[in-house]
Amino acid sequence: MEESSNFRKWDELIPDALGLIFKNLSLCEVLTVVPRVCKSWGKAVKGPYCWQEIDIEEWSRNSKPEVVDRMLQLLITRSCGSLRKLSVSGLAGDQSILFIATHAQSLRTLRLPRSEINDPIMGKAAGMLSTITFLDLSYCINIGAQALEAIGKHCKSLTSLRRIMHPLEVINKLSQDDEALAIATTMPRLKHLEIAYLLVDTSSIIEILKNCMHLELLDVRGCWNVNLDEKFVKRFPKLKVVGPLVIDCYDMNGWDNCSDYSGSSGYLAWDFVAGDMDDDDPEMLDDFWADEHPIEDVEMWFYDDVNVVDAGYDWPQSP
Amino acid sequence: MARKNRNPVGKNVDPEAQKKKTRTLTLKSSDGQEFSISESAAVLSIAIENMVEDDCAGGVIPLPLVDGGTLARVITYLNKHAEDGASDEEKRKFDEEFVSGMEMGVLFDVVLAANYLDIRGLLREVRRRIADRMKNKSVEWVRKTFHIESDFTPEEEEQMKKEFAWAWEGVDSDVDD
Repeated sequence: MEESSNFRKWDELIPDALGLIFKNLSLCEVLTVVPRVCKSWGKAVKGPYCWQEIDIEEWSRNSKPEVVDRMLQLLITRSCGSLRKLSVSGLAGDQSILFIATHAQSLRTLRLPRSEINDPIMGKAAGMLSTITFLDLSYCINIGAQALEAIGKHCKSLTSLRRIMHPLEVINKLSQDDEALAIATTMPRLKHLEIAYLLVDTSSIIEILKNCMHLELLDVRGCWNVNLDEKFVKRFPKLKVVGPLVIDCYDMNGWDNCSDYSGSSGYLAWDFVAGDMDDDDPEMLDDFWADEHPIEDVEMWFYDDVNVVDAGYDWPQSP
Repeated sequence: MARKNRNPVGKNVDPEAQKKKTRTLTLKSSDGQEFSISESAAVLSIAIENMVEDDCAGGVIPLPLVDGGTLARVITYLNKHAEDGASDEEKRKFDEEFVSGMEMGVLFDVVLAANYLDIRGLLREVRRRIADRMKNKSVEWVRKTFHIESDFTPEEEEQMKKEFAWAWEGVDSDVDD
């Protein structure tokens, strides 16, 4: 008799087919459940097919830096040079970014939000990241114009850059116009640029527009000093500018390639303010009030509306 | 089969696309069953598209790795996705229902067929559905669902349990340190 139709040899499925199935599971499941099912599944999880895309952003947000470093080394080694996408939050060690860079021969998408890497290290890594097309350095406070310049010089395929700031973290900075100028002078191929809450002036944005002729999306939400003349913007027919007003009323069409606008709460600094503020360190608030820097009337509504915002969907009007 | 009337919609219709809609191919399964399908639906499979382009189609396309039952399902999928009026929303709904009722054995056959025929959307859908069967389940449960027997020694099992303890240390509990 033939085997009943319910019995298939799942343990004999080829590793690449298995790997692509396991990709749909959480990191925890892939590492602690799947390999214990049988030897062939264990082998599949150790191979590159599971790890061409490594997204440990969520896990890394709740993990200690040294644990994140260890995990990255392990997973990137498993990818055997086939790593195409990497997403990790709060990267702290210099060694880690260099490790990523030395294994980046196939890397296209690199997301390093909230990382602590600084200019010199990023400068060093940039030389080895020449294949990336999408880079996310949002909320990385130790990075500045120098790093962006190095990236622009070396990453010639880069078409999307996210450099969103947290409004509470940039209040110590006087200006980030140098960053905008670094973008303008070294990244002429950009199509998507998201720099919400970056401290920049109108003149820097105009430089960007003049130099990055392929821009299709420019997100300057929360960049309150930016005031673009409509007529001027109209000179760039392909361009869509969002902001500086923070209103969630844009249409989502054609944004898919830009970044992960995955449903949930707003993708900007918002979930940060609404979610992380309460359980994060209270010092941030103290710094805010202690700072001599005149408090701009800008973000006051953050505090008033913090609770309302939990739903995360509606963007409050700016004052 | 009777040729359908050309139905000009008033817009510019790509004549090549129009041809594909009316041209029919025959797919032959491993157990000898034949299915006709419009070319426009068939070429949603990259593998079939390549065969058509290389002109090795010649009327009947043999698919020796896909049995009749599985091929019938795959064709249902292809037809829906080649349908003119179907909106993305409709297709998404269809996809969900399409895979939701599948037993493990069927999922296995369809994932192999979709892999062989290179039908990206179907592959994605079936893989996700298979993974769903493992989500939030214990090792034992997964083995049962997938009819897999452990080939580890008890010592190996014990050791593997601890292998990644370091990665989730303190994540579940509220221990402060």
